[in-house]
Amino acid sequence: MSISSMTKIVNPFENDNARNSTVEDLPRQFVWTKTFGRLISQKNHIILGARGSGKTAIVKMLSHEYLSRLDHPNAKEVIKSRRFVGVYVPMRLSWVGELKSSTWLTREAQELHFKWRLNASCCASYLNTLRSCIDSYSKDVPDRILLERSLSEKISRAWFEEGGINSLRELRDKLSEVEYSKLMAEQRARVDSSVNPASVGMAFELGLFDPLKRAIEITKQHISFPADASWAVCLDEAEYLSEFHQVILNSHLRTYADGLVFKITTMPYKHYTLETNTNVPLNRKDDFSYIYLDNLDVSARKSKGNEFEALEKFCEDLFSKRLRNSAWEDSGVTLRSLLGSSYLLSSEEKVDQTKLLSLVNKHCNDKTVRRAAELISTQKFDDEIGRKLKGALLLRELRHIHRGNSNSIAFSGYEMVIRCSDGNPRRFISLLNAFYNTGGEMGGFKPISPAIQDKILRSYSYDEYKRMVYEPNQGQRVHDVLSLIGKYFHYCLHNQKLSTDLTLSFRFNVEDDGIWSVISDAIGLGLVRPIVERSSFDTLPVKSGVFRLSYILSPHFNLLPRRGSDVALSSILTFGADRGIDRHIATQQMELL
Amino acid sequence: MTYLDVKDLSLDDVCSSRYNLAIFSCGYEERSIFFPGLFDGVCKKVLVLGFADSTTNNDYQLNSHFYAHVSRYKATPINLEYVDSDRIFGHLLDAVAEASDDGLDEFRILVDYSSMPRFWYSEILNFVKNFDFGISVFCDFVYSVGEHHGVSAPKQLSDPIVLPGCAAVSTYNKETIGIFSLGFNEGGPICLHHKIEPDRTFSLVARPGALEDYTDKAMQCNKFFLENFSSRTIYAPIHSVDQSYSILREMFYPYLGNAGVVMVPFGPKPHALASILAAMNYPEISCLYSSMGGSGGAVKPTTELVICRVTKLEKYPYLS
Amino acid sequence: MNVSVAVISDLHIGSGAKSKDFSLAGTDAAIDDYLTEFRKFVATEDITADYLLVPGDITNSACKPEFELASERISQIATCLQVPESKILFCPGNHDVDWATIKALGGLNHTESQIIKSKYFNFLDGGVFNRNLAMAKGRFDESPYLVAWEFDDVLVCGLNTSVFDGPDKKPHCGEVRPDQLIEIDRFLAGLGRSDKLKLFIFHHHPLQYLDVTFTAPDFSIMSNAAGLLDVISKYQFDFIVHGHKHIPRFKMEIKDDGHPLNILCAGSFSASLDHKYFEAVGNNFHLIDFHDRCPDSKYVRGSVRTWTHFSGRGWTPSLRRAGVERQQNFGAFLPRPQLVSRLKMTLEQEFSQAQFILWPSFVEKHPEFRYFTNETLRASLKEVSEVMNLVLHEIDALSLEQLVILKG
Repeated sequence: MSISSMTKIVNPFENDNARNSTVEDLPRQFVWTKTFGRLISQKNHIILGARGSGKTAIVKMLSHEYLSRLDHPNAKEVIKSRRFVGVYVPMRLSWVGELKSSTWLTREAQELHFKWRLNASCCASYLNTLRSCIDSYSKDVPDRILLERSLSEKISRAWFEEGGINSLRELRDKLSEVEYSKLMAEQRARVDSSVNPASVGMAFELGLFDPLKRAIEITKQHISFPADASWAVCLDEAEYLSEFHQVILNSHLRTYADGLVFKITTMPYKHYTLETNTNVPLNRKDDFSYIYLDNLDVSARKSKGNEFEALEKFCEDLFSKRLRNSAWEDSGVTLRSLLGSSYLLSSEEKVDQTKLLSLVNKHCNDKTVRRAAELISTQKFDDEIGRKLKGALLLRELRHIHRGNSNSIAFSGYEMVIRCSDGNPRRFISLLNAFYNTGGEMGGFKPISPAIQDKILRSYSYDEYKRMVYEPNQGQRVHDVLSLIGKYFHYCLHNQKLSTDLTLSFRFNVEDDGIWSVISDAIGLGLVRPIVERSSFDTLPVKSGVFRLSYILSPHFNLLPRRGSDVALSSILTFGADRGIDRHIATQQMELL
Repeated sequence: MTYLDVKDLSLDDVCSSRYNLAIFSCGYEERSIFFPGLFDGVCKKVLVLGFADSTTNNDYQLNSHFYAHVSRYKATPINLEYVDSDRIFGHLLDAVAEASDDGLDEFRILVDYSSMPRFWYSEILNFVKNFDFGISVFCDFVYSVGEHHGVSAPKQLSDPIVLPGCAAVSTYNKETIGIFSLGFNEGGPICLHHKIEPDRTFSLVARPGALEDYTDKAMQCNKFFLENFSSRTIYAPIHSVDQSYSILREMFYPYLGNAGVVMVPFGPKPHALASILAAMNYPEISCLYSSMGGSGGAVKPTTELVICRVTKLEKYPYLS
Repeated sequence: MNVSVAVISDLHIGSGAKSKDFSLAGTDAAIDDYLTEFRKFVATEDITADYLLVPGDITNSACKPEFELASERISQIATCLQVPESKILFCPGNHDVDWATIKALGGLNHTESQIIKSKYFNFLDGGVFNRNLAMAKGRFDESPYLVAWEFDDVLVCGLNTSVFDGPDKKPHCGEVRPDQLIEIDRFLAGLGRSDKLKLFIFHHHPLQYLDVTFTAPDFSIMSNAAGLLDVISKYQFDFIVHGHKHIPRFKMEIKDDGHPLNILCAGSFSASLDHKYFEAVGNNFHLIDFHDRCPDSKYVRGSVRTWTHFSGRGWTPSLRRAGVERQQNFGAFLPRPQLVSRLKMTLEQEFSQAQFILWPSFVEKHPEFRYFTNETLRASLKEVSEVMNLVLHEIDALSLEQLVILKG
């Protein structure tokens, strides 16, 4: 496969392109889904998505500056009609984290401080939106410039009571100056009681979102918008806020009189409360709706239960987008040609019935052995035994016959890589990057040997497993519990006689808030997935439901990346205790080696 | 706008200076007392900050005994938690009041930050930056290079926080640049990278490091991070805070006024100090950290010292 | 004319370089592979050149291994830019003086000319420096320390302004002596007159520049610089390139005889910069495109483009606040009132039909305004806008390429 041009990007997966979230890149990569379409409305939404689900990409795309660059008829219509104007406000840990360290402030002062900073952040984000609106809706070049000058001057007077500002750039610099003065004043006030931070940036002290609303009103005086246009504040990563801060935000989801709608992203189970600053909590359905993001767009699957189709489409889309505009664009390379078929999972590679029967006799329970014997030489054998057990039998057999330091090839192939990436774009691209780099400097896109794929997948899987521990809050517990679950499934797959029901998922059935907290954290981190038929908040289980480990953990635990049948979580937890399995990391590593 | 300027110093420079206030720490690391033990300069007041959760540790008790009885300081450690902001300010206010010398035109502080959590010396710098001493002030920071055994066992990180005085404005939120200084914490950078989600990431690694093999060890330890998250690796010597600061400034300078820059200092403390200085000097820069707690080991000093002087300037020193 | 000249200055190869591959073995540096980064940058920007100038401080301490490495690296850079080796032209800087040799010879009663020769043993010993000096007229280590390379389209003269420098001399600002100027005059007279593009390179500052980054007063201007500029102007050199303080600047000077000199103070290509002094100026690469000569004034016209390297970000078009603009035109000159008057007249004509003017389109239509410097144009446009009540949106913040002029 040859490179078309040496000046184009040679490795389309190198980490320089890993994020693809800038205003130039993201619209090119973005796929309009039904879920996304639902968000463009006058309703308040709380968008729940695990790490890697693409929630930041979605909420960014709601903003005017991103949406105006999306080459899609729906997007063009929204922009043209001016009926929806999104403002993307990232609740970055780098500023939200500062709220947590201001422990010397009283509760009231902390609330004021949070509101001030959120106001400043919203206003800064609004300037991006304003830029986009001016560019989209001005008649011509002079109109664009005069509009910018006029709006900058007026907004500056509204925010700072100062004129003489003629550009959005100057406005942004002024906002930065005021915000920095505020931060400095707050620190100085700790050692000098004569310093009054409240006197800095008083316009941002008025009320949460008030400065933003003022700026929007000024904008509407100069650019025509329909009376029912939705001005959407898209707050990203609310999981970093404390419950206290979320209560403040919730208060604003109550009232549409603001003229603002809210789209707030957070991790599943991290919308901590429905409480508001009044006595009346939020009402789901009246005040807002939840949207649960599963970037596989479960509801779009062609047939119920065919998880692989969704995963495959996701990966193929991502792969082809990456190849576009790279040096390999016209090379003819495909994902399948690079990875080959999966020995364990490919439905095209048939295993001889006789061989399969011998494996069944070796590894399966009596009932299954009898059934297989009955069905041999029939089509039903392939349907009932082959399709359900082939992967498990081959995997188990590989482990049994493995000797010394010979290479493993179990975790390789198109179907395997797609499943193991489990709908996480960063994971998928990182894996492809690792595969690409095995080709050496001039190698690039040669087919990757199964042994190398296996090695990389296992290494990657181990890294994900190992790194759970570091997660703040309860990373250690998450690691311990998932480790036990993984080992349990491993035991079922490799040490117990198999039936056609493979145990690879678990059912939450314990009355333990602590364990539930661990599982919900793991879901947020993308390490556990709830098994739901629709991507809907209503199907998102709470202290109940069926879950599976992320498939990226399958290579480490030597599991098939399938959902399988479920077992009660209580059985798994007692399994560990029954066998005196120490949950300490070192012991687990010893067991799995 | 106050600016904290940094330049390297020698041991002679420090030992020949008279200090109003010296701030040491009492931890379980042997190097906690290495510099305090050899320092023979003059200091009017000594403040010793101790780790509240290490008081039962044998090494801690030996170090505490050193400060209180063996050394000339005769100072009992004040016990603090890892993240103990306002109390540090309170102690500093009292200490400064005691240590002020009428008639002098400079207030001089000496800090041995070898065993201090980043939060503490960030708060000390934050105090220096904000408190009106009435006269010029400088603060000498001393770091005893330690013999680390390499990669520590994976441990849960603390909640990420923005170090005191290291907050950035949110104005330039269109793009985020991450600058991670790397050490032997394998999972920390990756964990925080997932949370910060920078648009571009750069890594800073100590070279030369504390010991001959430090750089290679750090590169190996952080291999996954470097291959999957970092665009470029830049090197700065562990022995010069001045140079490290210069190198960092070159990394973030082109982004000022356009992007938010987040420093994540998992590397050696001189690099962390340089990162904190950068965050305190530039509105666009924040310094975010998440601790794994101490290694628990009695880190021995190599006997090398890294010393720098931070001078508080009343305005930004450059005309541009 | 269409000649492109690349400039890399103040490499400080050795312990002064910021990258490992520009340092001697065993030296730690901030980055590893500067040359590879440069290659990628050149390929991405599609940059080629006809000549490569290196105006001094090629090495950090003038030892032999540094010159050997410098020769190799400069040749590789020339290859990236597709510059033939014979067109790599240079002069020594104060760091290219071998102080170790001077100190060794110190008490041995050698003549000044012998000591001067010894300073450059390493420089002239081999590599591209030795080869290319063999094709030149004159020598850097023999009075008047001036070298001339003559090609079909270009004449390049290089002067050694460090020749009298030594370890005890402070500051190391460079020097050209009055009697040396007489010899230089004679040398240049001997080259004859021609319409070729004429470039002059030396290391030190011919002007006193305002330092916005240093707080200490600047003493970098070389002794008798005024005399040197007079001579250069007398022989109607078109462009001067120098280095030394690592802060890039671009100026135009008109001397008594009325000839304008374009002066590029090149930034440092690869030195490790102490940002206490340089406020993150970064490392710089310049490309001077000489387009033609003005049919009326005969002044050479073209543009200087500058890119800056920051560790991390890599190569990027120069930031205005830290030195020169990413593109600076040169070659046109008019007294300000005349330029203002012409601009006013032309803008009035344009605004009789248009509501707004995009500067790049304006210049396309009226190329006589193209080659004024950015500073001249900004100042003149502001004067015009006051009279005509125009709106010059963000004229100071943006490059002129982005300027839109509106009726008020």
